[in-house]
Amino acid sequence: MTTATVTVTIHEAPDVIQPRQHGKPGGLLRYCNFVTALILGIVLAALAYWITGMFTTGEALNANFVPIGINVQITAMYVGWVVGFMIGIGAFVGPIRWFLGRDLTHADAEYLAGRGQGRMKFWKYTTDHKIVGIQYLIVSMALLGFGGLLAMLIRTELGVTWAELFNPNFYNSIIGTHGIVMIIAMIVVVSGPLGNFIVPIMVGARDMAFPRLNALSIWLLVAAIPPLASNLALGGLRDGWTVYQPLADQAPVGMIGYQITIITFGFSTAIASVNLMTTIVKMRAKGMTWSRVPIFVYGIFASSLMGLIWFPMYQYSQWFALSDRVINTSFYVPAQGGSVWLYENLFWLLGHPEVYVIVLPGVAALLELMVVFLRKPLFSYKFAVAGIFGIVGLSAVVWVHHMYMTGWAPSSNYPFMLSTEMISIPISFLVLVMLGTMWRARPWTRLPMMAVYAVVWNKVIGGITGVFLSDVPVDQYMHGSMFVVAHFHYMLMGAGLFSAMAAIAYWFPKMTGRYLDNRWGSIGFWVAFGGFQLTFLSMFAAGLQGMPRRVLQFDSLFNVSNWISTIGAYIIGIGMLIFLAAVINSWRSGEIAPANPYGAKTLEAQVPTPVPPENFAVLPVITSDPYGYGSPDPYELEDEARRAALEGGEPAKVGAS
Amino acid sequence: MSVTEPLSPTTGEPVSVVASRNRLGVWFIIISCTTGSLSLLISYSYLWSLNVNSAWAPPNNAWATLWPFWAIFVGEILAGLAMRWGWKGMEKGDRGRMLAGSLISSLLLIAAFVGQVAQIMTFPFGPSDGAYASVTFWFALSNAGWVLLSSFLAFGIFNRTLAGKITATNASHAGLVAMWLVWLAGVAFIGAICTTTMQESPNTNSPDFGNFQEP
Amino acid sequence: MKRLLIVLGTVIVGIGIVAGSAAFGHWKAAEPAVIKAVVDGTSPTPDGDRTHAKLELAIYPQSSGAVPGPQLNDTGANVAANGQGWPFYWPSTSIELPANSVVEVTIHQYDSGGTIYNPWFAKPQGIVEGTFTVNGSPEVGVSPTNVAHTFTIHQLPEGNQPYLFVSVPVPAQSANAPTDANGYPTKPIDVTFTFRTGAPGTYVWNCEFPCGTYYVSFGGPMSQRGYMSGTVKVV
Repeated sequence: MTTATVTVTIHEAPDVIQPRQHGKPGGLLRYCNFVTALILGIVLAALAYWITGMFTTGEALNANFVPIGINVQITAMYVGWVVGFMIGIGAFVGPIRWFLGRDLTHADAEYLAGRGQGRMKFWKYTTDHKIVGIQYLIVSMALLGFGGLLAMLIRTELGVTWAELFNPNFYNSIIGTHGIVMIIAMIVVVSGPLGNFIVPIMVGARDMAFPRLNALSIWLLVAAIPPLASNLALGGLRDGWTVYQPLADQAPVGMIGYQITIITFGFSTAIASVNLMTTIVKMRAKGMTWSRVPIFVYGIFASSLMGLIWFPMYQYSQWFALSDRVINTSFYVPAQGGSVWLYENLFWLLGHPEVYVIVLPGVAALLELMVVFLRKPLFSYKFAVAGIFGIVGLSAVVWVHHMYMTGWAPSSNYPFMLSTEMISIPISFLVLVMLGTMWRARPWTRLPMMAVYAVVWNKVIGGITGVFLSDVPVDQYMHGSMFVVAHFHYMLMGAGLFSAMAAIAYWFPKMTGRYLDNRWGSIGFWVAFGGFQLTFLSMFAAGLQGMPRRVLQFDSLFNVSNWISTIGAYIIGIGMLIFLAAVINSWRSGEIAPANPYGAKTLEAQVPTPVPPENFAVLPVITSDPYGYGSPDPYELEDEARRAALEGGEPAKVGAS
Repeated sequence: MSVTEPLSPTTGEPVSVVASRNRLGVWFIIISCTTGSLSLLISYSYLWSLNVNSAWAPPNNAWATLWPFWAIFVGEILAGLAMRWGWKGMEKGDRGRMLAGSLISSLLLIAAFVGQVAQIMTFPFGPSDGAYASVTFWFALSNAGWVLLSSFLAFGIFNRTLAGKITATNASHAGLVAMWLVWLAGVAFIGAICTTTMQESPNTNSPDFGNFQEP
Repeated sequence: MKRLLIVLGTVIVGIGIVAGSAAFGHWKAAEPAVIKAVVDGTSPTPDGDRTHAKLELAIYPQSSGAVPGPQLNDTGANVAANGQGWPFYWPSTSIELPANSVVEVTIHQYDSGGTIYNPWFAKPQGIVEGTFTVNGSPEVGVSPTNVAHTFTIHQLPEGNQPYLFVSVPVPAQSANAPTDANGYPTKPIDVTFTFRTGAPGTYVWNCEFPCGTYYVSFGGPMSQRGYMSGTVKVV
């Protein structure tokens, strides 16, 4: 991307009339941090539990014969936790200051952005998008670690076919918790760290559009995690990550943790989406027309758009489930006019677009980085953008394929089969753009580029099996089997997580100032990739044999495939740990990276590392697209030379360029 | 850029640039909130059309009285109009109009909130009395929540005008709140129109799942 | 070298965390301690004499000071934190039986009941001669309106073990039965039945009369091992 000289003057603080400074810069936020948040969260949770306990009895049952008292208490406890945590971190200071007319001064804003606070800024309500990006990176890695640990426990149980390691309740709970923890982790793992750290710089902005909302979104995510994790101590989450009704209504009170988490995470997602989308639409550098926007930015925008539109449906589905428990409504109680199909519809209206919320940013990141390592323009940029928005559009009309076997509106199965099969077309656009960009290129074999090949492989397998499953007759056989589990792991982990690893490896130097150790990072990546194939190809086999998902006990017919899957899972675990060690090592003492380590043309590669507080000393002006590599294309020159040689009757020089 | 246009004290940008950004952000928030409210609309119409277990209607067909829905809707419309009137006045330099408009808007919203709570307290059914009762409770509860939040915003505008933060050259926050109040009225309208036009379920031959009892 | 050591250290720590979590999960969520049927001689069968074993179980409506309810292995803690008010089988739901034997089970029943949803389970299945005794008198079934629980063993989805399906209804105590200081009826209803085991295998058993909490009573004790369900291991 070519940039011109300064055209916009920066208004430094002294030039601008400042509001009155109330106390020291930062005000109350000087006293708020993660520790105060923890303390207030715990205190308010305990208080809410205790106070509601005085007004509720444990005997009264609601329409589902659930004791209302304990449900009210546990709900109050979780709400107390979230509200207390957010008060403690300082999330309510901004709105109250706004109400009182105590607007931020430049000094306040500088304090909030973490200036001069050392490492403490990572533990506070810090507004700088780069800090928030790092916070997201740490939180998503922690979530992946927790979800991965549960995955190892699941595979251990399924691999120990000669004994029961856990009892069914605990097993089902770790299945459900693993599912939703990984879904949350995968939703944030690219959009969070890279959407926040990289995108504002990539579009030429000084920060996100709403810096305080940015801090709010990450801390809401942090507040959302403990209720979910605590379900394991409160009876567990035994109904899978989908928590279908009426199972969710029957479930122990741990289910309330899930519901509060989704409601809280819903706010976090909406706020983050609004922030990213507004930044992209309104804060692009001058000259960055929509045809010059890096493809990664399109991926983030599309993911945010889907999250913004569809996540509230999921959030409301949990509001209703919670109110069925606590205030005795009957949204999902058929005896009182409710319908469990209502739940499934509301759930899957987000549930399927969420797959693309996860996959699109990662795949767009691969498109972004592969041009750098191939030194070629992106093949058919417009095709890629069309693919991304084709997915966004069609994702709205495919949710019923999850409900073929529920008996809901059978006549709608076939239109939805068609729409689901159609969505493979825009997805194929993206794969074709990847292949087209690779065509006749000479790759620079660094880890991020190698990951592209891995993801294409995974995506093709996940995509093809997805087309099978979208077919009603096939789904009648495969529904609820391990085949489905293997399929969505190929998409969410194979395409999503491996893309995220590549993206983090690619932008690691910009975020930390150091290269990610290519050797150990690659070893970890490829070990995990090999283990992944072993685990899930074998799981396809188990599914084809007829093994149902979410079961602890199964026929010995499935032993071999489960042993292979478990060995594969351990290999994934080892690979991921090696990758983690490479990240830790590199972050602490890796090779110092220059500002533009891979010679990229996008804006984030043009700013110094570490990135200055305001990103750009002067705002850039864009004068060309970001993919002007190798122009004119050496292969075209070679072809022309060949043609000329042929026309001239002389033999072409093979390999000439 | 106007020479006299003030600059944001935190970013140094002209306030019109910040206002434009804020406006888009509020639009996105409204889109998100709208799809959330669509979940209620879907739930209402879906359960109304199914009449599962013949349990859509509340006991003895004791439907909610309709006029409070519409009264609250009108209150919210007027609150939005008052805020808009004040905002437009402020843009012309009329601070008195801004103060009056935001105060009227705040009071109307408080009245709408009180009315909404009163309606909830006097529904002729409890939340467990069938599907209609459940969704109607939720319409009312969610509207009460939104109105409470909106009254905070409206009072905030009044207070900020008093504090001199809303000025002729920097009145965009009032405009944003006025915009938000239009959406608020839209939500109330969805509840009012649903409860008015979709009362008796069209499905008179619904499946009967019996009445589960504890053994 | 330093990097290699850090990688090795990370992998070892990771493996340790997984192993530790698995061990903790096993300890925390393990089945109740196993109760073994007591072999007390032989019993004639059409296939010749077979080992005879006896098993005694009880059903209580809730835990008390005298009968603390399902406990984790050696921890003394209730399996479910809120399970003190739930009915449960006692002393354990993890049962071990000898293979190729005749097993005589006696259940001392202290719980009330009602009308079973599926009356098929009010009749015994898979027991010797199709009869069982209630307080010593032989029966071929109980009234579907007066069932407390059932004891039903199911075949696991396991192709290489012998079929085993046993189901016996357990009649309910009268609501007016006199109770002791712990709130239990002073006199249990004693149900005795006999069935045969084949080759070794692993099975699950549960109560087929939903007697729990939550939606149609499938929550609580019905969905928590150690109360109304467990395992049967034939060894």
